[in-house]
Amino acid sequence: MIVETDAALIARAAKWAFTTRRVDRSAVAGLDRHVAAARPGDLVLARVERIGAHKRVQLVTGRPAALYVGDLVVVACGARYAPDQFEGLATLAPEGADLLAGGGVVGTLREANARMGAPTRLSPIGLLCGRDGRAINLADHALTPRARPDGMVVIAGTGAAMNAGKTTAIACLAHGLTRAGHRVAALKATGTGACGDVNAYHDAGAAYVADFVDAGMASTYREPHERLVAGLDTLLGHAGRAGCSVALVELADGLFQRETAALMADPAVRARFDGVLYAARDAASAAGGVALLRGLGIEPAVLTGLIAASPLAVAEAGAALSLQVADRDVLADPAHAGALLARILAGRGMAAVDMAAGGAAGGTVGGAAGGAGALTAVRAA
Amino acid sequence: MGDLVANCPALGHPVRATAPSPAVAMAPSGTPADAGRSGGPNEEPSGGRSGAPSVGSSEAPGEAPSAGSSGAGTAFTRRWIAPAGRTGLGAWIAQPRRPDPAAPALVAVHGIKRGVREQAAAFAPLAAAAGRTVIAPEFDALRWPSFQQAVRRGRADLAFARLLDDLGLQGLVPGPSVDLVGYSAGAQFAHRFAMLHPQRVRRLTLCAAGWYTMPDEAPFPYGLGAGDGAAAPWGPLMQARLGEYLALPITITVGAHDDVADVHTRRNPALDGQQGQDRRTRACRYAAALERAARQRGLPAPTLAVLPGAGHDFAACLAAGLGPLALNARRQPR
Repeated sequence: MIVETDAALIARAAKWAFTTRRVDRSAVAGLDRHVAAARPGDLVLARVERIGAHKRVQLVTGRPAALYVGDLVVVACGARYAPDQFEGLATLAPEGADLLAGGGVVGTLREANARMGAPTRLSPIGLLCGRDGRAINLADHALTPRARPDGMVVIAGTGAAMNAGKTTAIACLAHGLTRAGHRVAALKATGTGACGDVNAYHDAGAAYVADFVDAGMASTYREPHERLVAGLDTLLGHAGRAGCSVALVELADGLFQRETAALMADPAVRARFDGVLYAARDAASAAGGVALLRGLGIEPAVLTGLIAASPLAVAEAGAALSLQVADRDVLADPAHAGALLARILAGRGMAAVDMAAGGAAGGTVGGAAGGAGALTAVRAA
Repeated sequence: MGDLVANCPALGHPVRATAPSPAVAMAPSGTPADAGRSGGPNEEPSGGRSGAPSVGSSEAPGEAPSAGSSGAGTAFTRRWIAPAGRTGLGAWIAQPRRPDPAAPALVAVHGIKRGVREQAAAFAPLAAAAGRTVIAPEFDALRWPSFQQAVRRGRADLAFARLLDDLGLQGLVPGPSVDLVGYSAGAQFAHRFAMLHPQRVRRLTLCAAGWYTMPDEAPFPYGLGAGDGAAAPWGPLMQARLGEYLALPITITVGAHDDVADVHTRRNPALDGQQGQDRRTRACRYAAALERAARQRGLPAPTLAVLPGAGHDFAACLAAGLGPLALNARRQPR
């Protein structure tokens, strides 16, 4: 049942969550009360019924806003996979649903980490509909699908688990490479919609920041592999259009997480990555993850994450793995970051021959064409 | 000329030795080159404290040598930019009255005696004629006693990069990279900076470095091998970017008579064995080593210029043609 609604009232009265940031609010024309029909990515108008684990919701501006019982929120229907918090599915029941993520993802709780309290409970009022009567979905407002660009250097950030230090590593490397003169994109290809990582990338100075929400997904958990690959390519494509020569791509959670594991197991996806960072909390998880990556034929360019803060853990891992360990300060240092990129390129049989950020040092050596602002990577003869 | 090449013991094959045009040795009285001579033999000119009060105002007009020029077109002003914050660098800026907004800045790094103002003055007339700004940063002795190694405590390389960023915001450094010239300890700094941050350098000119970080496996700072303790990472970092460094147009210069070690020359058996005992031998060996490394990568060789008549004396090097080399190297920038 679709009822006409006062779109302006919804736009004004509700707290619109970060996941809805791409949606033009003037597109809202009605409300579908049949909330059980919600699909992943649909926009849901809901009322806060009980405050639980998430006491705040992140607004489209990236500011966390305190929630009060009775608040109206616009959130996106989605699943969540978070070993430290909740696992939930992208389904809604009229009698109530769960706020699975502070970025604004609503679904149905399946499992919770024992340390988590009950989720914040929402009463879905309806699905926001457009003038055609269809539920508004994030995919309708996503970036235009694009192919990945040639010539861009792509570095993946993987980790042992949630909160291993991937985002910090990607942000710091984005900062270091930016200071080294590169135009860097920081992207998140999998995960659950939230502002934390996006903000961290912006704060680091990345020239282009986007995540899977920009590719039309509230969460990538349980999304088809092909959709994730297409989303990754779209993000890379737009990063290329934004003039970025290097893209850092975070893959959420650990290497065993279903979608991340499938991406890394896909040779065609691995071929997109010129280098791989691996973040771990401790030496044993470093050893396990590095062994897993090496089993896939991937030699991590650098070991990072929380482990890097512990000299003893670094010593343990160093003895076991013979791998460079870099902490956040090292990754953020332009000399180190520039050398890391050069090593990654060299490992691919490539050489960075020109990386002028649009100035005097145009042109290239070795016959490769490259415009200002581009890092031109050429295969060594 | 031929003798100069023959006397470079490391040179078995043609690294180009260049005697630049003597024209620049004829700077008229009162020009910076002339002022530089006051430093005397074996001295980098000592300009005293380089802060603004020494010139009485924040703007000190200067005139380029007027020979053959209209005068106004080559005029420049000099001013001191104070260090920003506790770790910032101050700099003398010599800015043409008619700057070419697209022309790269020349950054001239002083030696161990820190003749900052003279660095700016020395290159300013020629630079101004091409609409180019000269920047002479100061690594003051208290805060930056080991600036020439670039990566010692305090990280002179990052302070220098920050200065370039700040000056870029003021419109004084167009583009991401600069032409970099260093004299003596400044040449040590310049080549190490360029090896760590090749993207910030468009053209590199080294004059009379005391010694070099060679493109070999000796432990850093003598080579690109892993050093001890705090020096551990830097050699491998530079090794990773060696290809980018060698792709720069590099000119290595040294006075023809800078062939006797003095009290400032670092000496130890390993260094002497690797690079030779004096600056001229060391420059020649460095040029030869860079040439070998460049050839292996299919890159052009660096240029070696042995400056006729000059000892370890900035003014004499300038008189023998350092200026045109720094501003207009033989190879076109990439």
